[in-house]
Amino acid sequence: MTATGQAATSALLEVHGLSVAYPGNSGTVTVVRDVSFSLGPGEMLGVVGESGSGKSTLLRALIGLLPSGGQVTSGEVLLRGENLLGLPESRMRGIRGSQLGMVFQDPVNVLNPSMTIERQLSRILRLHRPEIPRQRRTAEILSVLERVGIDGRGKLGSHPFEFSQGQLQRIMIAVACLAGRPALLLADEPTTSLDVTVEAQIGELLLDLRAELGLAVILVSHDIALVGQLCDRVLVLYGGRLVETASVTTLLAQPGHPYTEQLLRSIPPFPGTGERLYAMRGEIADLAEASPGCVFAPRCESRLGPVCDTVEPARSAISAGHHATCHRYAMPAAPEPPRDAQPITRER
Amino acid sequence: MAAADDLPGRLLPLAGGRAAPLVSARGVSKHFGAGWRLPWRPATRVRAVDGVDLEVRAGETVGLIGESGSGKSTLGRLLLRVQDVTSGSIWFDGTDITGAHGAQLRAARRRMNLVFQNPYSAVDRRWRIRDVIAEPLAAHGIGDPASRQERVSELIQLVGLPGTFEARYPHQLSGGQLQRVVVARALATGPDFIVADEPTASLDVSVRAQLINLMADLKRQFGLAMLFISHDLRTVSALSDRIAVMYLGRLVETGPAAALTTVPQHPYTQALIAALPRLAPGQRRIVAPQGEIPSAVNPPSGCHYHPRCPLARPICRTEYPVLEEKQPGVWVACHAVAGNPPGITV
Repeated sequence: MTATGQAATSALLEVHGLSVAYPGNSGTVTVVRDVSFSLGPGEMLGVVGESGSGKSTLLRALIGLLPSGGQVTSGEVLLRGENLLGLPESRMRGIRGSQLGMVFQDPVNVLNPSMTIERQLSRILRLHRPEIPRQRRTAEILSVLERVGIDGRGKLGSHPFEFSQGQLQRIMIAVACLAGRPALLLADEPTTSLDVTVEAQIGELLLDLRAELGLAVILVSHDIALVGQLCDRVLVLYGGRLVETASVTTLLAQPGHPYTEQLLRSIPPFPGTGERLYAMRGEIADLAEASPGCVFAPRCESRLGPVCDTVEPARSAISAGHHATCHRYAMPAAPEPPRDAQPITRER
Repeated sequence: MAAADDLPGRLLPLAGGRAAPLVSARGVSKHFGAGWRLPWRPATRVRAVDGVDLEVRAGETVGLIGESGSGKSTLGRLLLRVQDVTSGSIWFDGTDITGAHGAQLRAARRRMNLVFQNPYSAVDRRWRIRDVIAEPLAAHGIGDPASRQERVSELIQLVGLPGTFEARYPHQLSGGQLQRVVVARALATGPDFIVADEPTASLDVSVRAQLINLMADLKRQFGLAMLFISHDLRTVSALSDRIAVMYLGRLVETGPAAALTTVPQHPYTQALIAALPRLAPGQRRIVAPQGEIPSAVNPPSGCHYHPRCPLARPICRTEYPVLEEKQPGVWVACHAVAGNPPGITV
């Protein structure tokens, strides 16, 4: 298994100052603003955010699949040093599947409902692994499916509706990471449409494949608890901004950004205590109403003062590998040193 | 049915929870036809709900949990008589309403209501918020336009929205705000019983807790009885007095919320809790139960859970375990859970 890189080794993926905008009713709306991060080979990176945080847009920008209207306005995406953003579409098509795999939220919408599983998978093999002769494709499909825990014998002639949601998601993972053998898998809420028990199975599958193939994974999810169980490192997005980057352990124990703190507190404890839940005030930021200050300021419970409304905070290092975009770390006389941030000790 | 003709009286919160049930399902089943009915093919039936007994006492919140396809939403609809039972009976406030119709059913429906999962599909997009909330009042012929308007203002305030929202349209509200509107509408006729079908599933985490708190407040303030349907154990655990766990149309465990979440008895309940991602730093605990929920068209024999169950014995394949009180208040349908009289064999 590849070492879980702390970006010390040469990075597999580097993203610098990525911004994405969509046309809005009055001018363009920047939905991903100035996001930078890097990812080592074999690393599992979680991207956590709520609706409108830009997490899916970020993922789609990486693989060049933004919906129409969406435009990368600045930044670069370096995959093994090669900038993907300037590449012509013909070249991108070669990279998708062979170097970058993607798994979507709802497998039912990805597979063709009127085609058998065998036909769909053998097409993919034909495109991405032309070295496999036609006669051997069926055998390869069966072995690929077996790797994700599906006994394909007698089922290859079935159509997608004959499989359960969990099985379809396994098939999609097989397609994304085994047919083309990519080094990086992008997974956009792969378990959101599944039940808890199946979600746990898919999570285990991703961990197995990572160990087996040395696959790096970017897992986008709204569920910080799921990301906390599967990933090594986490990016927290809010309102299109990267507000915090940290290892999973640090993030859960000592969140650095007020949003992360409040988000963790918002998750109902289990087992329930019968006490009133902590509820974050306000609603999710509306990106169309641009404010010059911190995007989280209207909901923040650790405001420092007017500076939060007027000046956009810069990204500051709290410790090695732990960054937050908040004024509390940039102020020369911060009232509260980061290490005193209240640790969350409750068992959940 | 005389009681239901009066204006809905507010029920007091219960001391010790020992009271006659407000709503109960007795041996309730709901079967649906599946697939095309062809003359040469025997009709296939899906037993969405299969012989369920469930009671909700006045002022009590019962959490109903299960994976998709377990029949939990159908059970909620049966209790409200939105759908009719195939067999069994539905009782509301001491009256059998299984076959109620006309004035009797309308009177019962004034006292019960439903909160839906997706607020955007639960309201008419062309109606102003005030009309959305006033609709049940108008439908039941309660009050005149002026008094309805007064009630709408009261309800809007009750769910914590600014009065200016009355004149807005649904698309001008966020998901969390619109879900509050749906809650306000459900409360319009002053019901005693609410079925909330995954009301927080479409909401973001940071907004979800607001709605859970609101529902907890309303339940306390009005002594509302509630069936809270969800697949999210955390939400159910935050709100419920009792929890019922459903699997393929049958209840497998019911018990006080604290007992069920801390010492789950049924292997399926244990699996659900084990699969829940924890927030403890450094603790990686993915415990994936085997398999997936099977199709309800052709459920496994005996105990429906046996193909996935780590404790399965031969008897589980042939005989369905009945729901038995294994500990005071804790009912479990399992051959393997202790407390089961050993005499029952095939």
